[in-house]
Amino acid sequence: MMELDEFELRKFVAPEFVFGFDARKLAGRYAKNFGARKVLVVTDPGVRAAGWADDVIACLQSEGVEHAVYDAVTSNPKAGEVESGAEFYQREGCNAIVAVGGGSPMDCAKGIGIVCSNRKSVVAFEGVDQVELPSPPLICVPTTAGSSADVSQFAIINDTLKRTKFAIISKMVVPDVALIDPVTTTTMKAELTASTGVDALCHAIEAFVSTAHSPITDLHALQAITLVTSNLLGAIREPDNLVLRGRMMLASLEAGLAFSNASLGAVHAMAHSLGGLLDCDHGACNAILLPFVIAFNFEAAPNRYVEIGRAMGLETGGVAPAKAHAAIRAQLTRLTRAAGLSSTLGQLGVSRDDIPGLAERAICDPCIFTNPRQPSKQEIEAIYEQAI
Amino acid sequence: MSKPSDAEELWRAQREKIIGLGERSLRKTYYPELQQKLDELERFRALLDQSNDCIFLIQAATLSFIDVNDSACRQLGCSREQILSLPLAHFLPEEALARVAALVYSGPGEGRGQATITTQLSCCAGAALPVEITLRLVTFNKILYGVAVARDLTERNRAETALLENSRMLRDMELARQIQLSLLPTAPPLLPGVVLAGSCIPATHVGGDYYDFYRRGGDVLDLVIADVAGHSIGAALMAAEVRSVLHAEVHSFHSTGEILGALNAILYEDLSQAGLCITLAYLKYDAPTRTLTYSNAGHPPVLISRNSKTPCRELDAEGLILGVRQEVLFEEKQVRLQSGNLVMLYTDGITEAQNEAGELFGCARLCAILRSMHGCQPEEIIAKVHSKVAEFTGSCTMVDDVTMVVLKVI
Repeated sequence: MMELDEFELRKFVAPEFVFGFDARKLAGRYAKNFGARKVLVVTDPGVRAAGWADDVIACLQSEGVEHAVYDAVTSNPKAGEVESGAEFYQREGCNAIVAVGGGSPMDCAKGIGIVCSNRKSVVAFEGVDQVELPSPPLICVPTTAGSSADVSQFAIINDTLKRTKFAIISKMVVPDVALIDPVTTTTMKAELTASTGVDALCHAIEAFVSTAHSPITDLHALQAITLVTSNLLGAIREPDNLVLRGRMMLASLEAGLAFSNASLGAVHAMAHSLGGLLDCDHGACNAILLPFVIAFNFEAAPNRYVEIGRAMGLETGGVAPAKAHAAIRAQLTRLTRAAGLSSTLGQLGVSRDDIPGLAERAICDPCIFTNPRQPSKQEIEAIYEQAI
Repeated sequence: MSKPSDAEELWRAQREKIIGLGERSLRKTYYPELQQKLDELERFRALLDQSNDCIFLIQAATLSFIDVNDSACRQLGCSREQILSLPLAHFLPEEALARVAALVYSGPGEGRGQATITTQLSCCAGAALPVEITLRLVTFNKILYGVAVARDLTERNRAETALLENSRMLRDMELARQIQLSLLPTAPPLLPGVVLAGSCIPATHVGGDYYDFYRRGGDVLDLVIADVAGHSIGAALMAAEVRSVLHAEVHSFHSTGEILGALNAILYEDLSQAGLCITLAYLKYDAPTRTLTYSNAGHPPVLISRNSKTPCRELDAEGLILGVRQEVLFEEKQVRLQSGNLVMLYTDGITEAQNEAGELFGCARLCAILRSMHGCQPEEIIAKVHSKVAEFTGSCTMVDDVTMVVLKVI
């Protein structure tokens, strides 16, 4: 099928990335080549305990680059953590940042970078293209296979005062290099492997049906969908299998390249508001919301969803859209169940009373703008209702 | 020829670099260079901040400050933000502001693009800082700026004033010197049977030494030499007063002792008020009888050299320094002179002149000169003493006033 809108204007932004075993060990060389004198290492206590931060610090030291460690980062990183990290960066006289960890330390590091260079509070950057000056050199070493903050132009920060997660979407927060090393994901527990893996799948599906998708993002999105559906459960079963870990990391990278450029949709908009209001686990929220959002969106882009089904390994040739829809949802539910993820928001502690507030926030999230179907607040509330 | 393993190694290394894994496989980045430029800029800024001058960058279009150095903040007592937020008019008087504006509007092309303005800058605390501002127009990226360097003139003004005052004082002192010299006898009087010479050289512009001659009837001549302690203006004024009193009183008295007594009584009050005192020798020479009558108020004794063979004689007479007590009796003595005798009146500037070893010139050296110069004219003797003293001290500048009067009996 030939469609003219295949060639609407699109832009593709990606950082330099090195993918493969031991990529993390290049952190010192890159820091040195970026002119770093003293590096702020942003990480979290879990990643430090797993030893990955120390691994990266050793590389910095071997290149003669000084460092200071900021590890006071929690999941759903808070604006206050960004601000105190920026103060620490200034106080220590750093001139570059290395983030080692999952989405939280990486998003926090992005926030620290732009706060330092723009000398403004992190909440001032909420929205799209609100960052004037680029961050100091930022090197990301992801240790989860899911968030892909290491290649994305997104940083999601939790405004604890407003109890909402806000998105900073700007080319200025794209890292200078991502050192993507599947080895770092071997220490992830099954639960984290599952939730981050489903996050990657969600990135890919939402990017594929996004109204900002492009042939290049499609390529990566479909490939990511295939990789997650065929390797996630294996990686959970065999955490030390480097091939399975590598494929999941590749899935995360490709999903990241896709969503960073095509953006996301209702699942992420709704998950962000859950994270902001109730501090819920991001991947878990995505996993629960995804089938319901697909149900809502399906009619707006049935062919795109059918392609997703095919990428998931479903037989879609000659199948009626409605049937394909059911098959996709069933496959997703199977996958998330087998991965051990919760299936209702109620299990995450969400109550019906929370729904109006959640919908209020979700309807304003920038991710909603590229959802294939524009939902009303009531429709969002209805999806939350179904997922509860 | 390389070994196969070397070739393999080369292949491997080249392939690594093509993949982008070489040590220097860098993507285009401006950051390291930017960092270096920033460091340079910071160094340069430190340089500017260390300057004692206030440096301002002014945007021509708005006539507002857009950058200042630390010195400006310090000297104006303002924060950087304060200076940058206030208009030029806040710091500059109207007239100076008009000159800045005129230069800016004339542009860099037309005028010389440069002006020096002497004015005052208003400090934030309210005081005014006298400055000389050098303003130059420069263009960065097609935007016209003025670079103003303001130098604090406080110190320079102070030095200039001091210099001016100094030169005024110098002029006044020179005038005083001229006046004081004019108070000395222009030439010794002519008296049968004697030749005379006198000289007075103050150590500074004006001195406290004084000598004079008073001609009386019947070929009688009075000679006086005085030394007011110190050689300042005060001493010079007092020397002038001594002269006035003597000129007025000298003919009211006949005896040398009486004259000194009257002089002491008249000057006592002024001297004790000024905290000064005077040594003075007063002589009366009766030419027909060749009799020298003398009294002395604490002055170095007058010397007589009869001939080249006998030692000099010191003419001593009892008498207190002028200005110590109101009523003083001065002894009066006489001596008869003979042909060829030399009489020398002098002040202690000669005998107390010191050489490098701290030795005094002393009376003996002076006498030796006198004894060796019986064949000479008084002027020659005076000149000789001057040159001997200079030779002795090793310097042409004297620390005290030097005065001599020489009388030679023919």
